[in-house]
Parts: sequence; C-alpha cells; structure tokens
Amino acid sequence: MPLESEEIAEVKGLGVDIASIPRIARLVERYNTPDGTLRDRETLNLLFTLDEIDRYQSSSYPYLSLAISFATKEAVGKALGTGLVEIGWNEIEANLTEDKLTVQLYGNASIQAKRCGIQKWLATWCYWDEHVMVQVLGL
Amino acid sequence: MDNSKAMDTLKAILIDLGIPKESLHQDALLQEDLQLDSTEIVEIALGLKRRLGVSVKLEGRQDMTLDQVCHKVEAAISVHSNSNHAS
Repeated sequence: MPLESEEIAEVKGLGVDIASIPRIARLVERYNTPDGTLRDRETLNLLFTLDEIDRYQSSSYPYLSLAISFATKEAVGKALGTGLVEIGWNEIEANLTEDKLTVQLYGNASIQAKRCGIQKWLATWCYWDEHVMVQVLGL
Repeated sequence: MDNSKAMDTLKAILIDLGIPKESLHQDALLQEDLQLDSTEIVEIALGLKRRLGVSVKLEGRQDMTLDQVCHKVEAAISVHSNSNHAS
C-alpha cells in the first residue's frame, strides 16, 4: 500500500507477525463438531470478535481468514508497544474486504492507541507456505 | 475450587497440546521451560474457559509458572462467584 511522505513521517507504531494456518485451524477445530459446525462460539469469542467468527463461517478460506485475524492482533499489540498485556484479543478486529485488510479497535486497545497518538492504521498481509504475515503501521 | 483441580485441568490442557507429562511441574515456566508460544498460550486460556468457565488473561510482561496460572484461575472463579452472589 503506497504511503504519502507526510504519513511516513508520522508513523507512531509498527508491528509485524507471522501466523501458521494449520496451527490456527487446529486451535479452532477444538470448538467444532466433527462435521465442521462451530459449537462453542462463546469461548472462541475470547479470541475473535463475533464479526471475525461470522467471516470465518462464511469464508471460502476460513482458516486463512482467522490466521490473518490472529496475526493482526499480535501485530497491533506490538505496534501499541504493550503487546496484549492489558488488551483483550477481541478488542482488536481485523476486517477483510476483497483482500484489503483494515483494523478496528475497541476498549483498552482503542485507549492505548489514543495514548500513542495513533488515529489511523494501515495494514497489509501476504500468504506463503501455509503461513500469513501481517504488517501494520499506526499513524 | 481447590488448587489441585485447577492444576489438574491446566495439566490436561497442556498434555492435549503435546507437552510431556514429566515436564509439568508447578514451578515450570510457560515460555522458558515449556517453550510455549503465543498460539499455545491462547489455547490454554480458551481451554480454561471451555473446561472451567473462567476467563483468564495469560499474556503478561513476565513469564508465568503453572502455579501462578492456577492462582489466576482461582481468583477469576472467586470474582465470578462473588458477582453471582451479589446479583
């Protein structure tokens, strides 16, 4: 994603993370019935927002979608400088629209972003060899 | 809940994750000793929620021992129980 030079000067946080798709699949499959139906939405909601779970359930590439969400949460935690110490996993949401990744924050994550002076996020992702890498910039 | 039930549940979750039973001492550190990464630590939190109904935050600035995780579980259960009594 191209950045204006003015935006580059205002980068206030940078985070990168890599997530393994098979490992995220293994994690989520514990909450599925044998036919693949999600049986424990409440527990999974500790980690993923309800919108992320809905996207997973309707996606053609469900585990890719969740791996992107997982890596985005970790990357944003790093960009905020705190990791996920006082931030809920479900307070960081990754949205995918036609492969374009955007970030939405809630609760403590939003408060911490304001403390850091971050008003806007730029996020990109790529896929290779059953892994996804997400990079976020807080501006 | 007594500490042993929380510890038994925690050990069962860790064994499910493939951690050898002989490594599971109460003083074992999640990251340094058991070599768990962030995905596995999340799996522990989800497992505790599913098996015991409690939400515990295991991401901290410092590595935690199994015993410290159990204390967190007990504290979460106590808060949950008190809030139920108050309501």
